[in-house]
Amino acid sequence: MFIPLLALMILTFAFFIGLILILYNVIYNYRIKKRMERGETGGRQWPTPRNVLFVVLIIAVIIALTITAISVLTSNQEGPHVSSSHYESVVSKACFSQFYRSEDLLQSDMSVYAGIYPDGNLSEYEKNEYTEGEFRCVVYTNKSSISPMPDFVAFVEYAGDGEFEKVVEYTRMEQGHPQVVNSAGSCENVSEYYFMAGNFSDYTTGCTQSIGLYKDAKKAQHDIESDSLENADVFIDIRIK
Amino acid sequence: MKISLSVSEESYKDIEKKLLALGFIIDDDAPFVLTERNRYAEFICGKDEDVSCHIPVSEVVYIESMGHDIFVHTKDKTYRCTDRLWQLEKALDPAFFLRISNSVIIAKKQVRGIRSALSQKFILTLSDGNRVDVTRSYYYIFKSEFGI
Repeated sequence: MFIPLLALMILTFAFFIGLILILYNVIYNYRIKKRMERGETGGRQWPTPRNVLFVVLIIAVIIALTITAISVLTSNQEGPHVSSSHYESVVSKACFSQFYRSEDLLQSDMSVYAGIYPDGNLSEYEKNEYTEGEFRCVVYTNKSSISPMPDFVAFVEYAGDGEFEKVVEYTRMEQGHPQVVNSAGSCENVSEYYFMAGNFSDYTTGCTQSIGLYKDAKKAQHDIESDSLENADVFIDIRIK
Repeated sequence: MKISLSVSEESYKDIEKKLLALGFIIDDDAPFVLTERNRYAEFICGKDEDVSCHIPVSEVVYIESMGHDIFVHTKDKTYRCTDRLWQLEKALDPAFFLRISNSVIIAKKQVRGIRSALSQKFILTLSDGNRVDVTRSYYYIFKSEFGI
């Protein structure tokens, strides 16, 4: 990036120096012609094009050094900003989604979130708590655009009376126009509650977390292979934007 | 012994008479030239197709050296000259003539146009329409002489 920019800068300078020299030579020749017509031979001599070239080169170097010095000083003053935008580009653009059963959450790298369910709050996150069917959902969405923390964190708990053996979950990330859906899923044993966390890239337009509970493990296995929840006894779709 | 005279018109006849009396032969092609101190040539000895002639310096547009030959250009004709260019440069009045390169001397009054080139040289258009270059070695001398 730096080398093409430098080459462009040098080319621009060379173009303007050449332009100035040609213009000067035209004016110089015009002056000579006028003096010849008037028959003048004395008077003040004008600098040669080569001297003009030296002067213009020196001025160009001074301008280039000044611009460089100003940009270096400005970038030093804006150091923390550059640092945060670096995080923004590295962290928030890394699209990911994770799903943990409550038993697994404590052993995961997301264990820090285990303590906040069911009633805790997360600073910089907006909490949205609701019930859908027999499921209780708590969704936290990150309000900061430059935070290195996940863009969303969600807890889902089955609050009904049913007893289930397996849980199948799918994460569907929607990206771009026309929309492309990236889907991933897993089939595991049921647990007390389920934890999900994820990050959106700049191109992610939304995310749907689907959870289905199964009394029959074979049906769960069938659904995970067919990438659906059609045989789930109960299921929920959590839409996150 | 043959001798060539490069003296003023006023003293020419007198000197010629004295030299003839001493047994000298006055010849423009002679290897020796008798000149006056502090005096510049009023004519240049040259040949127009093997015919020796005196070329008045006022008619000279430029003098050019090509190899061992010296050509004196006037508006109408070109003459061949036997003198070296440095000898002519010394013989001609610097108020009217100027050397502009290793091979060219111009008559200042015959310059009709001067064009500056970016490559540190001038291109001159002379009264006979010919173009000659002022080379880098003579660039500042010419510039100073013409005040440009």
